[in-house]
Amino acid sequence: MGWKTSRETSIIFLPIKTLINFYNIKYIRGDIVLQEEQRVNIIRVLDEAVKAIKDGNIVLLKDLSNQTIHDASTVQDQYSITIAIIIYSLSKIHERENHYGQFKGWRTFCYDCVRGLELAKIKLEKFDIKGFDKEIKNYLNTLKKLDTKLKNYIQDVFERAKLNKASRIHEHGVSIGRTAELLGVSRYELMDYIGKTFISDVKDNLTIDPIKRMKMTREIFK
Amino acid sequence: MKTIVLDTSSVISLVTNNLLEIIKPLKEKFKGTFYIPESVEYELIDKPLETKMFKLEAIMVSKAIEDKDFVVYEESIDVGSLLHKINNLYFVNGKPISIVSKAEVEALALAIKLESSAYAVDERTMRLVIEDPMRLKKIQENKLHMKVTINYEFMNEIKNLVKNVKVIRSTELVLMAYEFGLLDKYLINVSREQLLDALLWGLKIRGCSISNEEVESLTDFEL
Repeated sequence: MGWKTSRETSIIFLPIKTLINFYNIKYIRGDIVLQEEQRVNIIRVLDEAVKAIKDGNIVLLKDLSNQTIHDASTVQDQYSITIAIIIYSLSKIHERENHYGQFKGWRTFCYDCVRGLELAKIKLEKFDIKGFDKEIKNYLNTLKKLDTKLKNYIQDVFERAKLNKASRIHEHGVSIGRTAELLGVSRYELMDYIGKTFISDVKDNLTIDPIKRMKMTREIFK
Repeated sequence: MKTIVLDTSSVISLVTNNLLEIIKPLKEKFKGTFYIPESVEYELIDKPLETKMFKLEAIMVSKAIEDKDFVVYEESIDVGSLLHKINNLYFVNGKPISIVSKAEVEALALAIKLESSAYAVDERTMRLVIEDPMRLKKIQENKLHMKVTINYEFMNEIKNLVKNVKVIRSTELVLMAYEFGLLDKYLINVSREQLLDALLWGLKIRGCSISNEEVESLTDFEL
């Protein structure tokens, strides 16, 4: 499915709030909450993502992004969601390296990408959740420093990655409203995106025969 | 008084297809009121007005509210218990999955409160929770490849609360408009079949949860 051009160019940043049950919280630093299971998983994903970028393994990058979607759908922690978006965006950006590589600042961007992920991973390994949070923010802020043209392209990729990940979370059974809330996208945007996927064609969606529903509606309007 | 409560998703499908014009005559045929809760109004208007994307659609919905095509329900709606039950219905590894937002549940709670003739929702998850929660469990398990457990006590309580709720979608509203001849003005150089196909596909690709098979089945039914 082709991507649409976004009219909105705001950079992604997700609020650091979770709905995690308190009995399960392992690390709390101020507002920042991360469960041990997610911490270990994010370390693994970041580690493999760095290797995948260095090897130019785009398929693995996409796969890693999908792996974090399970946590994003169930635990709904903001870090799993953010990491899923970042890694998916990077897979898309590196897929078009021939195009983006022409722009000023591309090499710096590539270096900052790998370095940013490595630093974030180190912080997590040291149980420094606040430091990890800061690294993720810094990482997203590096985009602002890019050459205008490259920045616009990359911001657009991030925006579309956000919608792609949102549609995946919705596909896992989370409503459009809840998903939009989690990813900070509007319901208009999300419905527009989801409408162009195959989610509505899943056989298990059918609860009532459409003819029966239509006949019921006729009765309502009688 | 007869009422229909609309969720954000159904209004979005209508406005993004430029079909809000059917609401006024449809409401006259229905002889009742089309309600939306305040949280739905916020999602439809206030939020998109802050951005450039879908700002026009927000203005169009705002006009429909101004014209009383939709009435915003301003009294308080208690969603606490229902929201808690729905968001503690499914569990993975012993942890509940929050599957719905407050605004979505508010529309449903309003339909229950007003004993509405119908609750219009284009969104798949809400519809499944109301009509077949076990099916949603199956969808989750298929996607997660993990065992999903269900809180049967809450499931039965929800079932009891929604037992009189009739779920429709923008699809059914548009087809009613079609049957009433409200869309006949578009039958210029196009057949009825083409118009139906265009209407249903328009709704589908802008986010209404309707399958290809349902589109075909409804087109055959209407012709």
